[in-house]
Amino acid sequence: MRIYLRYPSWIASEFITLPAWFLLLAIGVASWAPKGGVTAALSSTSVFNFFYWGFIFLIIFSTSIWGIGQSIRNEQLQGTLEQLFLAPVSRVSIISGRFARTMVTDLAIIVYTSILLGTLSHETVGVQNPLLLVGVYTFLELAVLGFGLIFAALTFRLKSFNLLSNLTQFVVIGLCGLFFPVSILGPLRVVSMAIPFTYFADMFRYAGYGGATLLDPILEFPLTLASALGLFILGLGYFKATEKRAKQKGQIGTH
Amino acid sequence: MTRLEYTLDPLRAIFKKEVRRLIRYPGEMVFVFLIPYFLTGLVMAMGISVGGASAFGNFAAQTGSSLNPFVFLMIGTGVWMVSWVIMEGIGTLLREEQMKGTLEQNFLAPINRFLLLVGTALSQIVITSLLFVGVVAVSVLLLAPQGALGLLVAFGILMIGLIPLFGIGFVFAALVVRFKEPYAFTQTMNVLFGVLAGAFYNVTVLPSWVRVVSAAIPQSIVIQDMRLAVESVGSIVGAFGSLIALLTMGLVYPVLGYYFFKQFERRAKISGDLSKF
Repeated sequence: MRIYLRYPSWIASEFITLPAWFLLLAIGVASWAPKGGVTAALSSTSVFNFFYWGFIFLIIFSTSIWGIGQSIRNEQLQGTLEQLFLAPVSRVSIISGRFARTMVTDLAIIVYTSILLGTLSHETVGVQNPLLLVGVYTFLELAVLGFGLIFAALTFRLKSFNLLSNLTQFVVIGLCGLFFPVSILGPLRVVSMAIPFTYFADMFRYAGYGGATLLDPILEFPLTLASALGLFILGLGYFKATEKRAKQKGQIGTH
Repeated sequence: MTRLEYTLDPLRAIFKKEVRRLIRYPGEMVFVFLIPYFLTGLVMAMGISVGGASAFGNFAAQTGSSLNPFVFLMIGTGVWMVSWVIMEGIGTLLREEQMKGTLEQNFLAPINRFLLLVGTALSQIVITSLLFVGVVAVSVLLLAPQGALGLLVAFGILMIGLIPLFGIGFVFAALVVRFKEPYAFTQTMNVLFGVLAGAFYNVTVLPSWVRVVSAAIPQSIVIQDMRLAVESVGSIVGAFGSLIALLTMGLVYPVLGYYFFKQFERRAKISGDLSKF
């Protein structure tokens, strides 16, 4: 948290850039609505909420990749990773500590973005099912923590972290139905349905404002829980195995 | 050594060094080429899901353009990406030299500081031309071949538009030397430029006060005029006023940008900011 607060320009950048991206995409999409209906399209409850919850999902997903994966890479570049790994504390504690910072700042950005976008669009951001939302949010955080660990492990092997994380975000945006229903993807829909994050985005949106889901929510909810646990266990196992191999080869601090 | 050689030799050396640096990371280059395709596909998918069966008709009515929507968006995202690369390239150049510890050596070289910035700016023309071919020209030739002639005009407009962009880049470079943290600043400004320039839409949908700001940045005019040129070469004649505005920006912005840069450089020399990072 101290490192994060040390760079106010980055904080300002996050708080300006994220709503600006939303605005850019929303105005772009509104151009496909009937003439004179730009404002209507932007403030239509279903359209606004569809984009809004997709956008919130993206914030959580992206900052987790950057917050966990990139922090390992930064420690490598700064030459502090080996010292950190020599400390008599669990790796999971180190990474979870970083992840906690990401969660706190994510929540601050989400609250700020909700207020700003709600004011701009005159649309109130409500929550249809708060309990379900908390549940899905918890699963999502667990899943992205696991996914972040996979990314952190990959950082030991692949050095092009930025490229990899950008490509992953593109895949998730393009295939997981964050900003449009996966039904319009045609045959690619099969790929979408095979990615666990599609269901997280779907359930997250369902808990937020309702609307149709890909599967029956009674089936989709446990599916997200199972995916979250699976991703977390996979991420933890892969990270530990990669760290062990990197230690044997002396590649912990190699960059 | 003649006076011309005295100018051209360092310019050539800086240009060569920067081009080498640009092509050193092919993964990043590929990514820069993929982004416009990805963003265009994303906006189209989102738009179609909102507009339904009448999405394409709505798009034509909203934008007032008969261009194929994919081409329309590719021109917008292509120019935006060019602007992004230039702003980041020039804006972070001095900061990177600072971090590597080579900035002071460069500033001690017996060459005009202007050449240092111009050499870097010229290298950006290479990547800009490649982006134009790989993004705009390819989509026009495949989806709107009748606009092939307009492509030449569009390329000319883009080249004119680069001059004021370099001016804005000089301002970025100065601010980055002063305030450090280059990527936070350039990233924020680049996203805001996307909103203001109408990368995904026609700027006429923006509120009037935003349109005033939008008219002051060269990217808006370049995107609008390039779309017009590809749509019909003849229609660019009607946009003569905007081309004059672009040319005026081309004269004013680099001078202002360099003046701004010199002011910050002078202050940095006095305060010792050049060696601080």
